[in-house]
Amino acid sequence: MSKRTISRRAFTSALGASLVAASFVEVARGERATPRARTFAQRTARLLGAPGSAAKRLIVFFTPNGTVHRYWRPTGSGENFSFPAGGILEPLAPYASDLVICDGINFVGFDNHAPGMAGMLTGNGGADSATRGMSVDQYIAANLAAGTRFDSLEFGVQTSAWGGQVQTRMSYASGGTFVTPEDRPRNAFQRMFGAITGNPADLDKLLARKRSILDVVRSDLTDLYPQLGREEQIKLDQHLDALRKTEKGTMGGGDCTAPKAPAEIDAYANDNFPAIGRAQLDLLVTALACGLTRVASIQWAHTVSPVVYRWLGLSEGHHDLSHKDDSNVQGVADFVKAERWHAEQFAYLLNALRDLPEPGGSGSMLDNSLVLWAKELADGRLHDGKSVPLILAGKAGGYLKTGRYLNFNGAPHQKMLVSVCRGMGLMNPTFGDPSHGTGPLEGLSA
Amino acid sequence: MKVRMLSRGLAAASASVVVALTVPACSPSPAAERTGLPQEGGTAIGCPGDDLFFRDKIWPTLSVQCIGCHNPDGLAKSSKLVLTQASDQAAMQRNFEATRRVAFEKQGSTSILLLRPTGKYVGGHPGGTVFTDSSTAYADFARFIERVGSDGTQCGTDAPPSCGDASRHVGPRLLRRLTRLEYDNTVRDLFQIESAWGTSFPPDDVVDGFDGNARALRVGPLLADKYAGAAEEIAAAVAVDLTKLAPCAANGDDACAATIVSGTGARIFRRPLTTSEATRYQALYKTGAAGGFAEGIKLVLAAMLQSSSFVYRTEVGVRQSDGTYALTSYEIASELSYLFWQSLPDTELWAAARDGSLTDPANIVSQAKRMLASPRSRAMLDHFVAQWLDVDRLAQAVKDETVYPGFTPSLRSAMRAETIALFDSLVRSGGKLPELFTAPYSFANDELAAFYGINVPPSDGGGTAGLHKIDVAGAHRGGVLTHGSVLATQAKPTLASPIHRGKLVRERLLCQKPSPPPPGLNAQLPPVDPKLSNRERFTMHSKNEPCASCHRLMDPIGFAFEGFDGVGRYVGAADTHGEIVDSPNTNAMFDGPVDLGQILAQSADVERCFALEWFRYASGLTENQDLGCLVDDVTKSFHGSGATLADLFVGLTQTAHFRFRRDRDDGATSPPAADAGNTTPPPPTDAGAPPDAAPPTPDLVVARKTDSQWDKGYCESVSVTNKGMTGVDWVIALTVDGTLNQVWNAVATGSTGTVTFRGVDFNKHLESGQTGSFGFCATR
Repeated sequence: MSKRTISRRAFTSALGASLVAASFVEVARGERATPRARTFAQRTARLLGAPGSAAKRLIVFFTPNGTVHRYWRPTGSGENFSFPAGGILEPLAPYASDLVICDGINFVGFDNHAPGMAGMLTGNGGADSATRGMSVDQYIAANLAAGTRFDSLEFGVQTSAWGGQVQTRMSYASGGTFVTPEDRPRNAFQRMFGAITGNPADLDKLLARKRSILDVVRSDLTDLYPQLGREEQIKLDQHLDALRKTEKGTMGGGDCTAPKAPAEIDAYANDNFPAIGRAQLDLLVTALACGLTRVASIQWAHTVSPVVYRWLGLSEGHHDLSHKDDSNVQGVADFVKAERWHAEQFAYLLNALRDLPEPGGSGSMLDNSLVLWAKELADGRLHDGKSVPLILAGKAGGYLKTGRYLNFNGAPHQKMLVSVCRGMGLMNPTFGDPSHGTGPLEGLSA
Repeated sequence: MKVRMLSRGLAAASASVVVALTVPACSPSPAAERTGLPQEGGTAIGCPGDDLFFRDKIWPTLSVQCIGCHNPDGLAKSSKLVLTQASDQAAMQRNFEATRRVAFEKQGSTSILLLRPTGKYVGGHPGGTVFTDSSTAYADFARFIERVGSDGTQCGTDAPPSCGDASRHVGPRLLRRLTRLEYDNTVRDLFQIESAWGTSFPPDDVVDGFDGNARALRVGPLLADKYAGAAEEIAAAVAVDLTKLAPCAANGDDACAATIVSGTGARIFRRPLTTSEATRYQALYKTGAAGGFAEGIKLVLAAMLQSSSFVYRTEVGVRQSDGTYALTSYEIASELSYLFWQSLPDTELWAAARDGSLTDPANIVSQAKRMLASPRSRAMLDHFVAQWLDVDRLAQAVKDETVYPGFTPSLRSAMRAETIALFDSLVRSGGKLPELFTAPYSFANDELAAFYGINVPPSDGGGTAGLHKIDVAGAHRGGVLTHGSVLATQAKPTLASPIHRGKLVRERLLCQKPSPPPPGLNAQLPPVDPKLSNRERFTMHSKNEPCASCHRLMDPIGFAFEGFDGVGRYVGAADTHGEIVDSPNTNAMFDGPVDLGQILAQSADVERCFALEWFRYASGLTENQDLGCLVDDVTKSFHGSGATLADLFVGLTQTAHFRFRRDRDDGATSPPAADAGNTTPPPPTDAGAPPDAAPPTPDLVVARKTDSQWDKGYCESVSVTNKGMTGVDWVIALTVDGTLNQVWNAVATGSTGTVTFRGVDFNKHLESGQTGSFGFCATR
């Protein structure tokens, strides 16, 4: 692999950060992972980043099948822009000052449904790349040393009717393994709050019980390990890692009392799509507000999504609508209607984050968040990757200069992924495949 | 474009030259790359029969997956590989020559004939990854390159290929995680309680349409959490009446607990517990028994149901002197029961495992036949067919109520029932594959028969499960391709889809996967004119290059189904002629799906494809060059039986693979010893400090963090950052308090005090500035 050069500044700040982390952990060794330790970890995590500012949390918001740029693009540019009436992003108008609308960011060297889905968050990094095939959410989660109960939480809305495969997954763990989203709000709730009881003594007993079970389960696993060939050992490595995360998840209930559990709902009935989405958005915001995690994502369906937006009066599947030619006026109008509905869901998320004060900090949660609305295609009719519609929201603790519509003139999207890492305080020089560009997007940060 | 998913770190080998050379996705190769002349060294005379090898081994791939772009009018018309349809011997010869020329072109030491289709060529490949480097196609292409470049001495005997003795054709050792369905069935059969826990787990990863792929089924954080929750709930449900596990539970004590640990434990683990396991679980019982006998047992059950011994079925075996592994009789019992009943072994099978008789191939076959003949196999047949023909999507397929009023949920259920009924009846009656495509009868309840416009005599007894055997020939139907299930699933909410129907036939019946659209393709479609027929609407695909090169593989097949609407109702159509092109043995023209069924019934491609689909489903493996001979055995045996379905299903249990395995790759069964040459040597130090047990690589910054701690132990996450300017395979030494009892994402040498750690294949090498991480737990 060609030698990557790291800027001297990045090198030294990263070096300094590691030493800081080392000294922290020397002090923290032996401490139980209580809420006190978690705050300790949060403070340290902030130190790991660039001097100044970073977001407290990352949210990835995905909707499929590209866009029609004519109806997506704002008018104007820079700080002087607006959303045209009837356009896809008009529902975001109340949040314009918290957004960076990114035009001119390309997928370089790949496009179309499945490659777009696979490359969108991973930057097409293979197992041999610096980011080892991980998607940006998983990479950040793994590197944050957040000390939260969950390294990350993945919420889904009808993502998996076709099972887990390259068209239905956007998050990747190390080595190219899919990370599975939870499609059922009630299950997501159970995972987040299931261990909560009113009585702290009961909770301690419960946690001790879970740990004793996990001890035994780990012993079984490590007994099996040496009997296997290398490939199967890798499966157990991942299983052990999963057990470690499960154990971390038994640490405690988080910083708040559990909200009301969502009702059981048929997770794959087409017409339940909006209700499921809302429930998942609420849970996502709750998880972040309660400090259960610092990285969360919500995946609405998947590429080639067949969902029919009947609640908007539409009768064709979303993917079919994304293929309406410009001369098909009604077809394109239907697609725009569906996309506006997506924007309304994004607005709902931003609104929730804006209304909540930052726990133990200043400003709103949105001020301290980095939200990425990503898509896997640019123009859905062309299946291409030229000007993939990407939107960043939230001030990222001061990292992002918001309230702008920017054009990056064909920059490779790997640079945007590096910017997202910067926004979360990580200093990696590349993300995914470095051969098309390294470093963050110029002009994005404050 | 990088090779995704299944990446095995092999990408590292060829990623050595990554230059910022970007070829715009849809433009032809830069002129500088074209040399025109082959690099024929004086000694490259090739081998006799190279052209025959080309025709048999290379042309099948080129003619389906490459020629779409690599033709005189296609996207790759200016590339070095331009092929023409092999209409005659002369055309085939030209294609051979063209391919041979490309074989000589190298990038580094590898031919671009391998680099391009595997997506590893530095300039990219607009067609993406056509096959991976572990595929049969790759092996064939590599052999072709070897042959044509040979000086005449490495010609071997590969036409026809010799697989040798079938007893040597065994696949890899596997851990096979339970699917959701298997989990529910197993819990139900273990404890006689209804189980919907598996259904609540996240959907399984799907490979080639099947949810049982061994490699894809893993335990990630979400599933581990779900297992934990489900195990507790199941344990609580079982604890309501523990006498069902053992009568002594009425007055439960330690001895009774031991009985349950070994008795129920063996059923849960599908094999007897080892002594250390029994001790471990008995100790766990004691921990819980502080709250009473039932609490202790609940704790044991909850742990067992999360154990790797429950969650994975092992096909790992015991090492033999010849290096293969013989599966234990318990592993064979689980192989059989999960293959035919998707659940754990029944009493008879369990007894056969226990007395060791299951290692005898004759007993394996007789058990297999018993289990296939049992009604319990019906669910498995349904699961196979529903995935193979994609009809498991029928229940949730959205259909527009104004265009298709009255397409009720009960009608969908009836359609599913029809397909399994036909398949099941064929299997049980010793039927053969062709009849699946030609049967002039089917099975329908009243609602479905009415939907088909077929009168059912009221006096008809109702048959099996409310289904009548109906004569469909008069209703323009015949064979599974005219089932409502297939027709409605391969359609859209408001119209039928010839593309999807054609794609189903091409992919699932002919096992030929059309390539995905290449990058940079303009997929813009014109407006839909509602007055046009589907055929007229989709003509753009067949008129417009580059669409046509791939769509001609699918659309002409799908047009034959025009007489059936998007919910599988017969509506008639003026023109139902269709065509299969570019298949090795099945090129034909036909009129309507019944006629198509006749053609498929006689096709060697379809017969082989069906055997391959069954192999994929049953073995949990994706066929590749390692398994080519085993797949050959299975398909030949199916052919030898005259394509008798039951013989295929039982046949897999008669292979050596069913009883033996071997290790793929390095097959390390013990942690690698401290190795030489894998670490950069430390720079010369001053005399003072003596080297440590294993000298750590310099310029590494290590950060350790305690993740959790409890009375008996703790776990840590460790990150290792390479602060040097060159890449290293890292090795570090840490002081470990207590005794290591597990490590993940690293390999440890030593277990207490100073312990050396080095990475595993996906994190062991760190480039400058890169960080790798691992973790461990230790007890004190």
